[in-house]
Amino acid sequence: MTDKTSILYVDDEENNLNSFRAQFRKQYEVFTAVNAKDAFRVLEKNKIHIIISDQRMPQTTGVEFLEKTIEKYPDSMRLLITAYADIDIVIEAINRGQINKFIQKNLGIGKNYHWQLKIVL
Amino acid sequence: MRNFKAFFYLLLVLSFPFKAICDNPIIFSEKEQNNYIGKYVWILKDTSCKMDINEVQHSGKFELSNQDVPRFGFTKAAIWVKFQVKNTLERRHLMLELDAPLIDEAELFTLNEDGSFITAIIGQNVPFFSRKYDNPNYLFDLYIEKGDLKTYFIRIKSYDQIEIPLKVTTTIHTFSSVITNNFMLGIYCGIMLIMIFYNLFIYFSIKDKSYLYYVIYILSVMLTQTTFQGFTFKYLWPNYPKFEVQSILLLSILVGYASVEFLRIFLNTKKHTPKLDKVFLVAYLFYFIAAILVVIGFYQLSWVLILSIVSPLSMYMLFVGIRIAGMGYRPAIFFSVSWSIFLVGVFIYAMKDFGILPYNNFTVYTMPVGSAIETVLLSFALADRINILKKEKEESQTVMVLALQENEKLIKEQNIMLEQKVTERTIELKETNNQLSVTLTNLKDAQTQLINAEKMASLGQLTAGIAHEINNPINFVSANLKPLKMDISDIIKLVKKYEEIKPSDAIADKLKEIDLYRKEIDLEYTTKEIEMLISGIEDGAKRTTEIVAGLKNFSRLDESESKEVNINEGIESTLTLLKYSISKNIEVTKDLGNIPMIECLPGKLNQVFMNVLSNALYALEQKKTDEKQKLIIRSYVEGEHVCVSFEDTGIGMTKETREKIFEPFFTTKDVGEGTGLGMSIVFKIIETHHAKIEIDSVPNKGTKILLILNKKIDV
Repeated sequence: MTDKTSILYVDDEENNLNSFRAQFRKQYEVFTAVNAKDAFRVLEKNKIHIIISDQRMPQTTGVEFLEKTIEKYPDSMRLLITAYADIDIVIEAINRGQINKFIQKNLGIGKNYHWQLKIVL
Repeated sequence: MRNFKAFFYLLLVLSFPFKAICDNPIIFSEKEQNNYIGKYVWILKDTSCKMDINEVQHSGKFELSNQDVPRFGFTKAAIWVKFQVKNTLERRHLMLELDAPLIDEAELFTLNEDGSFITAIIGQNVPFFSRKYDNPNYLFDLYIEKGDLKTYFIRIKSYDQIEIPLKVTTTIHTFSSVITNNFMLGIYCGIMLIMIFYNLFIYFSIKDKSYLYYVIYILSVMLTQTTFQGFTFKYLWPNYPKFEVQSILLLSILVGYASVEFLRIFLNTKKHTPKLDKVFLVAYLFYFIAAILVVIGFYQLSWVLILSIVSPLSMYMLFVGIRIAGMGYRPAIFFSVSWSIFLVGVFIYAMKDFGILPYNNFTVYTMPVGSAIETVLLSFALADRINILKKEKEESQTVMVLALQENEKLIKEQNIMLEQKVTERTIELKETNNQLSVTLTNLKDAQTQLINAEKMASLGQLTAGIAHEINNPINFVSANLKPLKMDISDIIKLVKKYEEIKPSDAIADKLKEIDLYRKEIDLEYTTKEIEMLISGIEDGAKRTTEIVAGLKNFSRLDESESKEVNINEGIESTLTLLKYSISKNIEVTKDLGNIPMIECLPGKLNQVFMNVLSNALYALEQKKTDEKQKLIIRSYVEGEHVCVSFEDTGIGMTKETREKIFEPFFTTKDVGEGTGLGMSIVFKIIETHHAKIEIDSVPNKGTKILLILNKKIDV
């Protein structure tokens, strides 16, 4: 195991996962999962510092997934990425998912969320 | 009216001193024939009515009459008259006249020299035509040779008052007097008939009841008068002797009734003298009783009753007439005058009956003359009544004309007012109409605005979806570019390192160095990553193109031209645009069949699909359950129709919602979420396509919406 900070990125869109991994694999140890079930498998096997999840996923939403990780992995940092600027989701994310950062997805092509993420990380 | 105080006569007769029967013959000569022979006759009253001629012949109870005309009033007794005639003339055929046509029965017994009798009977009880002489008065033949003396007996019996005006005349004299009598009666009847018809015609033309009563009155008076003279028996009911007896009674009653009724109507007594008028009702009662007495056969009693009321009633009528005349009612003056003339006639007649005036041609005719004059005068009165009526009518017409003029004036005024009102109302209506027009324009504007708003709302919904849908692929396209650049630059560096190798350099060292670098950049992974990133970009580009194509298809929204299209494409592109709105637990099944192109407004139909599908997705989301939800879209051909069905397992609709679904502004969504125009627009579009829309929905089970489109439509 390296000393690199480990990140778990959960998104149902595989292209996003690829893109993310390509972007950050050099600085961080990047794990990806297409759904909550896969994500928990990853979490079990690896020590994850940062958990990033997309909000809009089938079956389990980002907030729900993040909420479930609180108990087992309280030390992990939790980030939520979403296309919505919906205040309800934000409130839920903070109260239920205890997220550290809220990242808005759709800021346009030029300023994509990876750069935001970079600033955050 | 003929006789008064019948009993008075009776008393007179009875009070005469007894005279022994002695010969007191009538010595017949030319001079004698105009006189009544009452003073030459002997009278015997047979109260039992059972005596026969043989008994009477030898009876000593005969008394000499002292009157020219013996009278007996009402009596049930049979009166026997005995007289002797001595003829002094050459002609042996003489006539015995009994000028009392009302006597019921008279039988003449002629005593022959041998003591036997020849009898001749005349009377009301015998049919008229059985008479030898066709005359109302009773005529008997007397055959006496010159110088001979003959004895005669007459038996008289009657319910009426009995008076016996007997005359012995020559035949010529008799017949000339008969002619005179008939002539007089003819004149009387002529006057009366003319009056009857004249007044009857007047009645028919002006319908005044008093004329009718007048006609009845004159008719009854005429009949009564002629009956007194014995003519009605001769001319009207010669074969009904029994009725002849009743007729005079009934006619007397009718005269009384008709005269009183005429008076009441003519003088309007009810109005002028209501109290006096009541007395006439009493008179009616008497007449009614008298009529009943006639019907049940008490003739004499009926006579007594009639005669007892006749004079007080006539005086009373005169009194009433004068009283009303005093009130200034002109017809009453006429009535009083004519009625008094009639009463004078009656008075003279009665004087004759009393014996105060002689029984001659003048006194006999006073009553008909009085009655004729009365009739004529009353007729004048009626004519005058016409004048009065005319005057009254004219007055009322004047009043009416005035009233009409007043009415016309009022109507004119009202018309002016009405016209004014109509004008006002018209102006009001025009204003209202203008206001309504403005309101309508406003409403139309509002409707257009709302429809536009709906369009904008669906466009907005679309835009949001599209933005997101495009955002995702574009995101990873752009996100892939950076690492791709890095990867490529790593590989370029590697390639450069290879290029730097010169033939003079120690290849092994260099290769070692390059190999280190290769490991550093993990060439194998990088190559894979490059492929991955490029395919991601490709994917993103492809998805973006798809969306744009879908958008292009959908953007026919505003096309108003009808085109032949395959509506499956429309469904597909609508779904593409909605893809983002479809949550992951909704399983969308597309079962789009092989359907022909149909002519339609594709943009409009896409709007229908968009609205229906949006509603279906909303209904599915509202269910709020983790269970997999289904949305099945089918298109298929059925006969001449192309059908599209949308079936969802959403919350469904209540009956109320189902009924109001096409109403504009009806929405189940929260305020701000829906315009309530979606389905009403759908309905309108379906209508313009001459298509049908069927909705089948069960609350909490789901909804099925079926569109039935024609293969060929003329939109």
